[in-house]
Amino acid sequence: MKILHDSPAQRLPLTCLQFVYFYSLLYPPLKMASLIANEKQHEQLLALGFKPVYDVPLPSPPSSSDTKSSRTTTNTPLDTPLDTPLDHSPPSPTTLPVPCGISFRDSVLITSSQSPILNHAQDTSLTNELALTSGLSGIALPECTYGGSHVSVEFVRAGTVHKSVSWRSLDSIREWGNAQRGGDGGVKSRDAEAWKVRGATKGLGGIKLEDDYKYDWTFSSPYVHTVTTAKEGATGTKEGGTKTETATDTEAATEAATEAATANNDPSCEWTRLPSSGIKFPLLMDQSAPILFFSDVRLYEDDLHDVGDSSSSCKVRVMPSCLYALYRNYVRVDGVLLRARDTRVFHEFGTDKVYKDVAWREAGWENLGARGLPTDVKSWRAEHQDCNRNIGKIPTVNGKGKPQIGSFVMTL
Amino acid sequence: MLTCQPCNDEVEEETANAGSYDEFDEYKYDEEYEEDDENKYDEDKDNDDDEYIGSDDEYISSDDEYIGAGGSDLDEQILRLRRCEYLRESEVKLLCQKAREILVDESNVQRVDAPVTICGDIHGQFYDLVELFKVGGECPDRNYLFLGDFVDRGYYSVETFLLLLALKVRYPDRITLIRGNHESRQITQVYGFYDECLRKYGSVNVWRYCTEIFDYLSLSAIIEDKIFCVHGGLSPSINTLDQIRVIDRKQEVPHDGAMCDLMWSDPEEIDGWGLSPRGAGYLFGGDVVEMFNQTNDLSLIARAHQLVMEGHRSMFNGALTTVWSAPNYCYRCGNVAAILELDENLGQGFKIFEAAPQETRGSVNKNPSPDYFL
Repeated sequence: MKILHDSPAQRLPLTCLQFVYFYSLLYPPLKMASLIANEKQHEQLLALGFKPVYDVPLPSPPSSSDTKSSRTTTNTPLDTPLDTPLDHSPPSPTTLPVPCGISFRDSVLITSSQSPILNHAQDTSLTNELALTSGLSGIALPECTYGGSHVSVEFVRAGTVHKSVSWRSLDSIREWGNAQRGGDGGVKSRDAEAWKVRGATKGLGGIKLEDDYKYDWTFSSPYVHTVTTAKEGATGTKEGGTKTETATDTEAATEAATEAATANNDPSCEWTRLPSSGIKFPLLMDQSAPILFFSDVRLYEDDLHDVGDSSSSCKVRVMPSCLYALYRNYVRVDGVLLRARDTRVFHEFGTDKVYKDVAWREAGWENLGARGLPTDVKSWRAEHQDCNRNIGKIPTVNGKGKPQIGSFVMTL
Repeated sequence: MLTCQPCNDEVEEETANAGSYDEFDEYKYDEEYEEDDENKYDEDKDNDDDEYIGSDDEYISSDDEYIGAGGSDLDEQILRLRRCEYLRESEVKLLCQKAREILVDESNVQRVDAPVTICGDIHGQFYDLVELFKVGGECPDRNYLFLGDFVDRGYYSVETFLLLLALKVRYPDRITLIRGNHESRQITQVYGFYDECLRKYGSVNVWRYCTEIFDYLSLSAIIEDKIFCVHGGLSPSINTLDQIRVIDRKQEVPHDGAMCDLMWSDPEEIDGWGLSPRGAGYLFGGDVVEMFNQTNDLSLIARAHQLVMEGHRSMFNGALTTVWSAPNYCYRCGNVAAILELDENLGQGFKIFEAAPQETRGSVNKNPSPDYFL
């Protein structure tokens, strides 16, 4: 689909830049150097209003810029403060690392980071934290929790972060933990009953067999995103509240959401409900617009002991006219159910609106066939990798009692 | 989830390594390898004139013997495998036949002498296995015990398993391979090995040969009567090593029972036994380990099966240790790998290593290609 829109991108000769970008993303370590290998390409990128952001100090010319440190996102503490001064040091013409983000006219900054999994100490500390917040002991975290992983979209005013929407590994896990309070363990694997029977009947002779753990081992997180807002009149270093939004069944949450739907003066209730999606999908389907920045970050994953998969991940792409992110918590319990909890966020550069769609999908395995969906595990494993082919056909969950489901807009 | 789809780079690399073979190019592949074969036979003629009798055809028909005989071809195969070139289907078939003859005589609790190096999961990360040998010393200079999960998830399950198997056939007393839960027909069909065989050979014969060999792999090992080594852990149905010895292991990994538990269970900070939260497999606590070690006069249980960021983890006051030997697991976990070296007095020392550069090169741990996702 070809969409005409009044963006500078449409008027600039992008072919060369586009090629180099795509090529560099496919083969980053060596080829990325050619991204801005010559001044002309760099200028073309700058002409569009974009600057790449790097997470390692760039090999800078040995004079004035020595004191400048570039923004570091990979090795910062797990909860990276969002008020780090923005720095877009001009890239050196030689051997550049892969950018970890991109900024648009110093007003929007999109960054991402893929971190390693938690080490034992971090794992223990998070487990203890969750034991406190969720009141449950014996919780096992996802086998691969990429603790420092995030995708973040920051809206900058006068050099400081005014608002931000981000997806963070630990926030996602924490929201999963919060949802465990009073839980009954939720989904059982296909073999669970058989194992229980086996435990009971095989006469394990005085061997104590603990019952199923009372928590959701599928790591179905109700996490939607993390939002931050700077306080009105804040001088630049202080931040307002950080809020992670989740969909819960509690009445209080429903009330809060009703409030959110009506009151948009309260800075903590950023999102206003819309009757239908505000995301401009035709714009996103315009494949003639080059992707200037792309990232696919894994927040956590677990193979559920080979009876399925659970993962939280976030993709983001930045085009000359807009940015688009998809966060997905995907759960597959083989022979039992499929779940996809999606948050889509869209922002058109130059506007003051951010749109989001939150949709939850779920289907019991026994219902897949009737909907013309594959019933073999392998198809759904591939689905997880290819992202979208069939997941979109899984029926959506009714938003009733889940106030975060639906379409929303936030004014910057 | 923890899936490693080969990216374009990786496929390119593989085909380059394999002598420009891919499934759409079989003719070329055969041709090239026939050339190789001729060269090889010429060399053989030069080197082993006495042994070489008859035409090429006859030579091929007596493959079985020449592997057993002294292994100059086996050595050549090992050299090729070390370069990450996989063997021809016919070579795999013969290698598996030979391996079966060796493995069938091994006990369910195979005896291993110290000094020995214990290695955990490898999961098809071939270049990391090469790194492992670099760090730990080459086989047969060092004595090795691998705790299973050779295949699945990584890009090079075929090369990884065949190299280990070839070493086993060549140096049966210097390397011990025991079975992990991924050495199974059912699991390999879902987690990569089956698809890899199909992609690399254009048929599933190699997968068949290998999975048949899986059934012959031992279930556990015991080092100097003191250290019990197993892939997963203990089973509520098993109190003594003799109970393991009587299991009929020559079968697909069953869905329950002692054999299944040995490959699937996990230690956990609990008392007694627990059901895994996933509802499949058992968890066992420190008291269970203490009892088992006491009953069988053991000093340590060494096992693998669980990803550990630090490469190894000790539990229950050192009564059990987990060893993990796949660095940067699935090319993105960022963990280090470890091997456990035991000296002749069973003194323990861990060696830690990181992912090999070659392995990272084909990895997905980089920016993926952009797509217009919606």
